[in-house]
Amino acid sequence: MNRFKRIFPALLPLLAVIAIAETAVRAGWIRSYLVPAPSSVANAIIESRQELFTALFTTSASALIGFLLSTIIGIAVAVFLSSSKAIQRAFYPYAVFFQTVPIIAIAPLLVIWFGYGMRTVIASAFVVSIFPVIANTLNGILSTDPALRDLFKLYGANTWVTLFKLRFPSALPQILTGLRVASGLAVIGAIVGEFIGGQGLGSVVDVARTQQRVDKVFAAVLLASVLGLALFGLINLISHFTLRRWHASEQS
Amino acid sequence: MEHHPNPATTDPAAVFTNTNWLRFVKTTTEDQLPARKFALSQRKIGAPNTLNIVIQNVTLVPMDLTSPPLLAATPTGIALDLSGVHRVFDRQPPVIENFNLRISAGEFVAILGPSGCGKSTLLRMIAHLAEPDSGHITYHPSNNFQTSYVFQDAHLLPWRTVLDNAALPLELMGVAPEQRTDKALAALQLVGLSDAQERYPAQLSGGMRMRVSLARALVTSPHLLLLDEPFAALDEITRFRLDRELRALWLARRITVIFVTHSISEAAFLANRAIVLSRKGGHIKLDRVLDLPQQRTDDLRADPRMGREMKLLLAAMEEE
Repeated sequence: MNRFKRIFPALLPLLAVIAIAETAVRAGWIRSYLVPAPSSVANAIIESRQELFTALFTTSASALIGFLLSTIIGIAVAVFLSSSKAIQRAFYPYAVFFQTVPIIAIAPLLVIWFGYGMRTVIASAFVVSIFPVIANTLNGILSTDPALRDLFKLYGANTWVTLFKLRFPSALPQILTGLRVASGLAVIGAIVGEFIGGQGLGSVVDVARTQQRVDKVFAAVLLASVLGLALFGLINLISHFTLRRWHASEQS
Repeated sequence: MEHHPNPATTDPAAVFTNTNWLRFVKTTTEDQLPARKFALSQRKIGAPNTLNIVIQNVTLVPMDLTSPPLLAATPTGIALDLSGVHRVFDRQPPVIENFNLRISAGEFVAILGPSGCGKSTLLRMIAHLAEPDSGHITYHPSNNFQTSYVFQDAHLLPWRTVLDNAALPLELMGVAPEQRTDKALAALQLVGLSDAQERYPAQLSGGMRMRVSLARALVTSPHLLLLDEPFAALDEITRFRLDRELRALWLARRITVIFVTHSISEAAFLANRAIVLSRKGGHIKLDRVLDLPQQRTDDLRADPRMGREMKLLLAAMEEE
């Protein structure tokens, strides 16, 4: 009952939109080649389930690998940047590059470097999702309570001990915020990579578009969003289990 | 006694002097109130049962000074000598200018001064958290002594339990796990928090957090205890209680304590010697051994002797 009460408000707009779209298409207010009826999207999913779910699996794998690379490399870069103000001034502007680079413009370049296929897709997912990890981790590490830094210094803790016992744990809420943003971006990056590098849901969308199969485009887009949501949910789950005892964000 | 102050118009704590037990019971429940509220809010939203531990009552007992000392041989404090200490923050007039002070082993010194007079800077330099620009600080004995530092707020690691917070200094110093658990438990017992060892800081009241912070400072059996306005953020009743307990602890251990504060009454109640610093340059305006009994109870807060000391300290603080 409690759980239902929490989920219901989010379901309501969805159900309303589905109902309105279905009615609008059936009544002929909207052309079905512009916006397909939800029922025909469902049909497309069932019809092409083999193709769609293989594509979903491929995209998931690429997005996930790209996301994990962003997490590991992003956190490592943030630790490196946090080591001194001078290093930060020298390198941080180049980290911002990942934020500002138009992925759609450099995707063809990635194909030249990595060839058609998964490696390009992973690279694309990685490039768009690393910056929020760097920025949030760095911010978290730098905002460690100065009094606690003093305390660690007083008892002779070295840089690594301070990093693992103080800076990482206290940056964890911010790191997780970075990962939440990055998880969505990784899926977007993977789809964009697939437009150009082939494979997966991105290529399904591209092919269905040329065939004027709007229902199939919608079906693929829907699955891509579900993938993004699943990744987001995973991070929230991790966040819940790591922060619930001590951080205000997980206590209300 | 010719002078009998009216308790209702003087010290709020004095109101209760004859009903000590009442005050104790009252503050005990108040101290637990935030934790209870928190527990209730958790139950309301159906949070997982890990938080049920909050609901169990944690009884706050006064510091247990009869418990075995943290180390077999109770250490006494160290002496220190500050000579010509100078500290400047970029291009501004020096915060601490040619500062000289000698503190004997086992003294309880309060350093008083207005905000921004450099008293915290002084304390940080004594703790080696900051270095003087010139001059030096010498310690006797010069090595093999342990310093602890208590901040204005508890500054606990929120992701660690009370026990792990109290054990942190030993962990950082490389003490073996079983040994540090034993010592942390002893330190928690000392501050009256042994029942709360499994709890997280978010589940404690401000007063309890400060006690954990004290336990963390005491766990290393320090020879030098530095406190930077440690109880300033607490409500007065909790503060009074911690004042009493800190004083009793010092009487039992005789470590060197340097206590920075801007509260005249706290300085007078706690310390044996009070030093008043000037607003600029941290010059010593008054260095006085307080004429008060060694054993301090709340009765002292309404005692004319304490009033006299406070008046002297106030006069020194106000003179420019």
